[in-house]
Amino acid sequence: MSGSREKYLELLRKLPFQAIADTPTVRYYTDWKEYEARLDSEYADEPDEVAEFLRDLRSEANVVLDVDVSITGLPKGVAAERIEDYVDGEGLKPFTLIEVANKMTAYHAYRWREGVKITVEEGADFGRIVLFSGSGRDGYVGHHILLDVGEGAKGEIVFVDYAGESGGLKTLLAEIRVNPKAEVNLVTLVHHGKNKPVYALRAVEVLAQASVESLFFAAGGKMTRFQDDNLINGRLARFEMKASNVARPATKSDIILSTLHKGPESEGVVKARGIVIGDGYLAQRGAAVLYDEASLAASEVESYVTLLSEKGKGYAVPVLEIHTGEITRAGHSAAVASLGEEFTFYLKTRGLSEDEITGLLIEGVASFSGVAEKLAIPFTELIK
Amino acid sequence: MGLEVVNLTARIGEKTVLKNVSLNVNYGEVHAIMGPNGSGKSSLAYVIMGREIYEVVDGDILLDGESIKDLPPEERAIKGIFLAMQDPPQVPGVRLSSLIIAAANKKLGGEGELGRPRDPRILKRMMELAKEIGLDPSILQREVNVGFSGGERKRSEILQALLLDPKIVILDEPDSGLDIDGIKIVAQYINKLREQGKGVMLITHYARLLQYVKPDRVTVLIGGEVVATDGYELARLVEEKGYAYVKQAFRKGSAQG
Repeated sequence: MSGSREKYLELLRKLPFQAIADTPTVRYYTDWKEYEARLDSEYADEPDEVAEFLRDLRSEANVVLDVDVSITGLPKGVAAERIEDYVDGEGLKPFTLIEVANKMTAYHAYRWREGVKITVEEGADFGRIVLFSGSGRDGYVGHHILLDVGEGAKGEIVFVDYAGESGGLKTLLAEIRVNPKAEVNLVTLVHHGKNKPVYALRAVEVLAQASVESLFFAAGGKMTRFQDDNLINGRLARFEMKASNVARPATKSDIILSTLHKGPESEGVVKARGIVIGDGYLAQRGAAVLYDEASLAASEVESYVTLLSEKGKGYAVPVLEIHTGEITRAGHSAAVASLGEEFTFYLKTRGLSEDEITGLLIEGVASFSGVAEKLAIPFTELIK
Repeated sequence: MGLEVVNLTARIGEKTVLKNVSLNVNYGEVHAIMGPNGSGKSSLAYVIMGREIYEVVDGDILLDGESIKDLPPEERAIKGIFLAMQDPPQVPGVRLSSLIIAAANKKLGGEGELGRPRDPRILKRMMELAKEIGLDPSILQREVNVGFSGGERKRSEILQALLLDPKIVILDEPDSGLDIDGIKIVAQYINKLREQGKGVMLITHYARLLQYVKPDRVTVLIGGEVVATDGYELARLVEEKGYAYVKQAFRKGSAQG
């Protein structure tokens, strides 16, 4: 362990899991106890087995992180290097876009071991890059990804956060900078097993006139916290996201999809759909924050969660904060709907039985983001 | 033949909402059901469709002479009854096209994935019809009723009625919230459904829509009871004199008669 990490050990001891304590009006949506119980995990020695439906994607991946890092077949204009510690020099470094502000980020900062820095050249038409962050068998892995997309570059980034079925713990932090005038399609697949809590935090910075179209699918596991902070940080920068979040039975997910506007005339749209199957748990949260400098920005957040059973729990929590005097538009809407009598009756009047209604809703929500279609994975595999 | 409601009495919880209601909806006819707020018009539609929160206490509902009273709503739909709800709920995540394809597949019967059209012609047909009734075809890719305007909801229900080819179409206040142009378009397609030989039960508050859809028969429902049944002139009488007058006049008429 390098000396520079000692300061994080200190922070790990001091910092709470989240800044605001649980009170009758403020609650934890993440079950931090699941992480706390595994902070002493040893490093995993071997990778988890990857589910069959993801093996092709893993084979195709240009960068794979599990208990090691492998880099293969990068497209033209893309370079990648393994990072094992805190790097010097220009550009993105660990914790450029992410602040160590709570116990889990401090834990990651102290312990992460597998890291990669990917750089896309200015103006490169890079086609597709696949990043596959897997997991370790019955132990801890910490992955740190830095990705710098050069000015005017164009292409698709497939970002997989996978955790297998063994126990242990995983942390994943990713810092992505999309430089001016770059155009990125970001396709994210989060799929976690039922025995390993995963803490993931991704910060995406979108600079002037750059645009990011983000498709996001999450099927959480034992406890999945995936926080996606999208900083729209330049004039006319644009970020648009469609997300599908599925809480399968006996899983818990806290998914936070935010747009943070600092760019004037920037635009952000987040449309999230969630579904809770059986006794699953899903908190689908999202903040749209328009800071003082984001004059004439436009932002919209939509969050709908459907509960298929009375045993499940679902929360749709949108936050809209406006700190600037002039905005183009800002809106948020959210609802948690159970499979109520009127809702079911309406669909029955179209000739559908209760089982068919459930199937239609699951398929609808799972397909909403377009990730399954994009990655050619049957949605039924994703929700198994 | 068509739909026959025979001496139907129904309740929701302890409240009786329909009292001994009888009426027919014949094929190739529009039967308008009029009445003030809370008169039982929507309840009648729900009971015909089999909504489970209602209990049929007495009477029967026949489709082509066969009782459907004990069938669940989905089976009534497959047999050919379509209900366009007054305020249909949002279905987040499910595209309108997916719902139409699933419903059309059910109607066609057979095995296979619900989401894959068993008759591929429906895809083209839904695009064409959406345009015809004044909807942007992109609505088919939007989630059912999510963010739809009042007019879009009404037209989307009409679109489904046209595509699913039912025998009996029950339209619960298809004109509410529409401007005059919207009313004319909806009326045009109600007339089209009639021309296609379907039986249409048209529930409405006001006679405004009936200026554009001349009903073959009009029934006035007040307090869950049928107080008058007649031809189109009954709708005009309601418009001119109001429900209280019609109730009085028909009660007197039946006493004298």
